[in-house]
Amino acid sequence: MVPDRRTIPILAVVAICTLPHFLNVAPWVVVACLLLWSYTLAAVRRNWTLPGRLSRGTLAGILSVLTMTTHEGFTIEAFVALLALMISLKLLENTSTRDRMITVILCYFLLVGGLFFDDSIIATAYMMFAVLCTTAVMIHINQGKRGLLAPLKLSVRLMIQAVPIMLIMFLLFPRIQGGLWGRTPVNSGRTGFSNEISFGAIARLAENHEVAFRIEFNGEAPAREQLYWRGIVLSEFDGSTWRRGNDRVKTVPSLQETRQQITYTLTLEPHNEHWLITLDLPMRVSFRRAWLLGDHTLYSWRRISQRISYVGESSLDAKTFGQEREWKKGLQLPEEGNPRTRELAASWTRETEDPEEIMQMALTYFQEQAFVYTLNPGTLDIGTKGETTGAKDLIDRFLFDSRKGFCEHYACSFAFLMRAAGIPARIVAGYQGGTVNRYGGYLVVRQSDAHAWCEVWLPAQGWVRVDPTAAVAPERLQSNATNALPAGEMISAWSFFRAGPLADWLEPMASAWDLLNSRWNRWVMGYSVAEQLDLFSRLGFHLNGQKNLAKRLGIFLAAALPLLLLAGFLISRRKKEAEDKVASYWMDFCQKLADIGLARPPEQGPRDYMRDILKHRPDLELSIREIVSLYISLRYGRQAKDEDVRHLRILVKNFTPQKRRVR
Amino acid sequence: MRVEKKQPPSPLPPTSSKFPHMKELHGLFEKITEQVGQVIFGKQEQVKLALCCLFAQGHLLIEDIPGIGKTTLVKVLAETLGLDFRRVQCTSDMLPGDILGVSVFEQKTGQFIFHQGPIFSQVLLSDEINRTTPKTQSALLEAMEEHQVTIEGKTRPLPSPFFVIATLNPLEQVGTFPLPESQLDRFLFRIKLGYPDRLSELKLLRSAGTQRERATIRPLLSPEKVIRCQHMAARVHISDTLVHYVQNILDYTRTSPDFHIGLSPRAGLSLVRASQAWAFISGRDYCLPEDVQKLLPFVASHRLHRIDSQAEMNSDELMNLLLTIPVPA
Repeated sequence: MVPDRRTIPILAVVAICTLPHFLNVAPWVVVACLLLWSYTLAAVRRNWTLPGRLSRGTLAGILSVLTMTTHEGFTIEAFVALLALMISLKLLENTSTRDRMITVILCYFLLVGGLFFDDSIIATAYMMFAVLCTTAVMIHINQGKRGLLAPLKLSVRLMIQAVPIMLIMFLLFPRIQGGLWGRTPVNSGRTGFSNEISFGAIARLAENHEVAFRIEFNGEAPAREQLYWRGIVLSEFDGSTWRRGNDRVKTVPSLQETRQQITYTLTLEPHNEHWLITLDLPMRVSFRRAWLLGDHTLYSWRRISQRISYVGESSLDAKTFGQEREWKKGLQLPEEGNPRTRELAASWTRETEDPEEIMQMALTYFQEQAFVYTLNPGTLDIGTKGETTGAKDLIDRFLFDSRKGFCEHYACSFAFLMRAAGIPARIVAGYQGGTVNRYGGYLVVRQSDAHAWCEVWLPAQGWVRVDPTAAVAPERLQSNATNALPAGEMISAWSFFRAGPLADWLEPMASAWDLLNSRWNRWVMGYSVAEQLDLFSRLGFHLNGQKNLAKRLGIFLAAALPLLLLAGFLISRRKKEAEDKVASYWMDFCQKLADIGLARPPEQGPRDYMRDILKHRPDLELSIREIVSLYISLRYGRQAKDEDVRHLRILVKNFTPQKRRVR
Repeated sequence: MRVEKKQPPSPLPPTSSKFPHMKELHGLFEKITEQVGQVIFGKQEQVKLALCCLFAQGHLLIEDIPGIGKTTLVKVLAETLGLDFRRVQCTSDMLPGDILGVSVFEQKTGQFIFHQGPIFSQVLLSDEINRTTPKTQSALLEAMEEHQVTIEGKTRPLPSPFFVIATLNPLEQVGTFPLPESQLDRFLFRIKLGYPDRLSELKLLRSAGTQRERATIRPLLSPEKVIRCQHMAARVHISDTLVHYVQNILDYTRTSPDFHIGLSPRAGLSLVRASQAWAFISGRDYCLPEDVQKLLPFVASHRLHRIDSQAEMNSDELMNLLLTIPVPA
């Protein structure tokens, strides 16, 4: 069994469809696919004999077992990997049209699988491109002609014709609750902070420029320094890590003296955790499956595994006193550890008992000592004298030895100091600032904007926000974290584009791109049951309740039916116009003969034509006689059978007359 | 006045839509052509055309100079087909009654008795039809079209099958009445015999006349069989594509600047019927474009006239024009 050149376009399309999955599958699968493709290519070029059934079967078995064992069970990744491998293997047995068709059809499945991982504009655009190529190759296989240009054109035409159907399906086909594709994108929730914070947790995010969420304000946006995006509150400390704890108090303490109220719409990217982001301090949020907790954070009882959008209302200047248990919890400290820090706090309490003064002394301490705001604080585990001090005394190490740190270092140390001084304190993790999109007017907050700050309970004012990072690096509040870093400390080459002179030049493009993404997410990927019901009510169909699937299906069918009828009408008309397949096969046959210089005069009937050709080329008699008599019986005979039409197609396809060599 | 009811058309013989005896029939037609060929040398094609014309239920016009064998051909053909044959020699003093028949008063019975004219036959040879007056011509041609004659207020059906073969002297000969176009249209085919080729003529000259061979002619068909063949020919499949082709041809003659008047729908129908009959005697149950092309000169040449001179086009010239129409794929 020797492969032929017709495999090459199929190989190309398999590669196009598999490439995006290389990010999702195990590395060895990538290597295996590449090897299989190279082998196929080499086999076509060099006319190698392909492996037999037994070796192919064995290889398939080995690859399946390997796939299932190297991926984490029966995951989407495993199935995608298996599909990619099997398609690549299938390339080795492309002997019949049927084999080729199966390979190409499988590519569509691979493409759809890509949406489980990425539903961004680029991924969707790439998918469209891949569908275009796949369809073109499919047409190419069926036409059996040489060039790829004509199939490509037809493929483009088909895709354009499919647009109305796509729109109707998209808008009107009954949606089911869930993502656009009915399943959570697998990649979501791999970034962002988790339920705990230790040193270095947020610094790791500084290099991550993925969008965390986008906000549109109703009305004026607050000043940048006030944009504290509250995520979670951490009040349990075990000596090295701050945790959220399991306490979920749902009684929300009332806010007092609110004057500045801000309303905004927030679109949160999935992060696979329970928390939602609000502007500090939240008052109301229009998200049904989440509630406000006692610490003024929002808790969703489901993990946020898909992009959500909600309207929030926050107060910038509210006071909250909280409950007693909240601030009692804010005093909890481990029994021992960080003795030097405790001593520092004790020295302050000896001077004054006023918590506000102690707080000021701590901030002054951060300002006056030589603290450096940096992403690379170095490791704190190893003491100055070389002995390992263990994880317990990290805050001591930071405050007195290294004095280099990122926001979480300052927040954690500050909260520890306050607690040691007997003042209730807790850490709030979230984001600070954001970038205004110049075209969309909305605010984009990225993972690199992640931030941690403190809240201190003062008897007169309740919980007060204190940001020790601002004491060390005030410019952090003016721009993003990267810009606040000391000169020369570029995190990566990427930051060169973000902060360097190029940034000004690139910024408009980046803004426009982000706007596009935001609209895509909101209008296309975010088109859910609620939006569909909204559309229906705008069209005059008021459906409510859960059991309206049948009605929605009815609306869809009512809209799709005219389209289907139109399509049917067009197809039937085309059929007549094109004078069916038999004519086109006959034309192909005549063309093939015309190519070797035996064109049919247009006025000549099939039998006369055959007689004339056979005069010149008696060597072709067998095949020509078969084709012509089949054509005559189909075209002029009483009944045209479908199988005869297919037979004629195959005969004409396989009819390859060679020009007679002149001796 | 008694008007005899028109006979209902004879019911179709119970043949299946397939042609069960196709091969058998084809062999028979070969045999017929062969048998006629024993007498008329080298005119196989004309014999086949005449047969085709009969099965297409049309009438045949043979145009040629005298002495070329027209009459012999018709005689032999009629005998071979087993049909009842009569001949009328047309002259300028001939009256319609001479062809149709007359009622004669018989003194014995005191009644008028109708004496059938030669038209009451299955094959009528009307020799030199252009020698008789238009009055007689039209009486004959009307009978051809209607398959019945009305004499003295009484309508009488003609026998079935009814096949008229008229011969014609070319117009430049003296003392002829040219057939008007409307009359020409009633003939399915117009064929020419032409001089025999050299070999055939030598053979003819060597043979001592035709009388001896005539004796060996025996009927190969019967009137019933001929009717049956006519029905079978009418059921030969003509595909939609081919119908389009025929229509394209008709359309071309109507829009082309070369012709005075285009082909009539009757001409189109004739072409289709003739093609079916031709396919039938060729042993096929479907028509091909080649059938149409083959018969086109015989169907069209006497119906088309040149726009400038009103003269007929010669066959080759006509075909050069008509056969440029593309055959649909």
